[in-house]
Amino acid sequence: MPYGYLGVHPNQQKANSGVFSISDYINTQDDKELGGGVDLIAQSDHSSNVATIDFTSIQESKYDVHCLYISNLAFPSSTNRIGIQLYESGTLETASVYDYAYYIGESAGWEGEQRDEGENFMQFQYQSTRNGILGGYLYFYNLGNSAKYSVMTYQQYMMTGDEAYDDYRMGGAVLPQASTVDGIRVMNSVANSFTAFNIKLFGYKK
Amino acid sequence: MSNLRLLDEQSISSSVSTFSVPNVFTSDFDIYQITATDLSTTGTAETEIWLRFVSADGSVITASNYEYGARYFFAWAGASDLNGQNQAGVRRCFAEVTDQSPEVASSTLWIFNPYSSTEYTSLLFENSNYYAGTYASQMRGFAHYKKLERVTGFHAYDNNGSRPLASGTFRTYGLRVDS
Repeated sequence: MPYGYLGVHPNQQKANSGVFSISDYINTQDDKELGGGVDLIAQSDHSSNVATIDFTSIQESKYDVHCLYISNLAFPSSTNRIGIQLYESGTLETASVYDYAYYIGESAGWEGEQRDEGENFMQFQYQSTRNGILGGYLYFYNLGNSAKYSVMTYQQYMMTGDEAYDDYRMGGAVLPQASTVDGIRVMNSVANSFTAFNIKLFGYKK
Repeated sequence: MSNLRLLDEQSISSSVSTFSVPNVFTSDFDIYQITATDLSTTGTAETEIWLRFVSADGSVITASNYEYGARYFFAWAGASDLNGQNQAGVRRCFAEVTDQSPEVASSTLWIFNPYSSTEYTSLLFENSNYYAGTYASQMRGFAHYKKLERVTGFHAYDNNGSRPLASGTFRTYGLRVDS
């Protein structure tokens, strides 16, 4: 590998010595070999309580795999269902067109699944009686492809305030419409305000 | 700078029943992530997309050394489990089921130790699918290639060899490790 670093030498498995020239840098960037394979697109950190968290500059033409990392998303009791709605060419899709299915394993021992067709969002959590905190990741595919459906897979954990219904969930969802998706909204079914969150949106380089 | 490095990108450009991505696993990385997007077939027949590995000599490994377990979830019906021992491939690894565009399947895989000849190659996978105009499904599972053999690539194929893959893009990333 002909390229390297000035100063601190990184400990990586591939030998890497030398110094980037300007042309090295440009050529490597053109070859998509400069830097990492995952780019941070946007970040949303809690500053006030809000019922919806929007990502409306997702660079859908640059990436066809997006990953939303959610940490410490806190919700009050009676929030009920938490999920995702997608923007299609700037318009939020709120109609009953989403399908989802996922597995639930609870710390108390119960396991099961939740699923629905023709829902008005991609549900990924349901907690009707407790406040709680959740985290996890969601992969989105083909969002910017106007000729293809948009699909999602995910897994997450959730802790209730009294630890009575801590759970783990995994599954996915589909927006079965060929459209350009250019935004992602994190929301809940009763418009309760989220009281804490740190969410990052990444794009997988292609 | 992220720790995932884009190593390779391959797309299906014409109808094929199998598609190989060789020479992507090397001594440079121990852990890899693969994304497969936009998987669809010509025709409307519902088709599973399975995985095999490619050996160091470039041949597709068809011996019955794959083991797997998974659960798949349907939006329209209860979930099911899938498992197999001593199989000739990893069933439904890239797509539980897919068919014609725009109804596509997409997936993410993690591959562990493929280049090691002293450890089994293991993988985790998850995929999301929509097909037949009405069915949404998701699937998550694991697999092992239980032979102490170096593998250098992977291979996607339809389950019966007669339903050509029409589209799909496979990207391979290596997980860089800094101490």
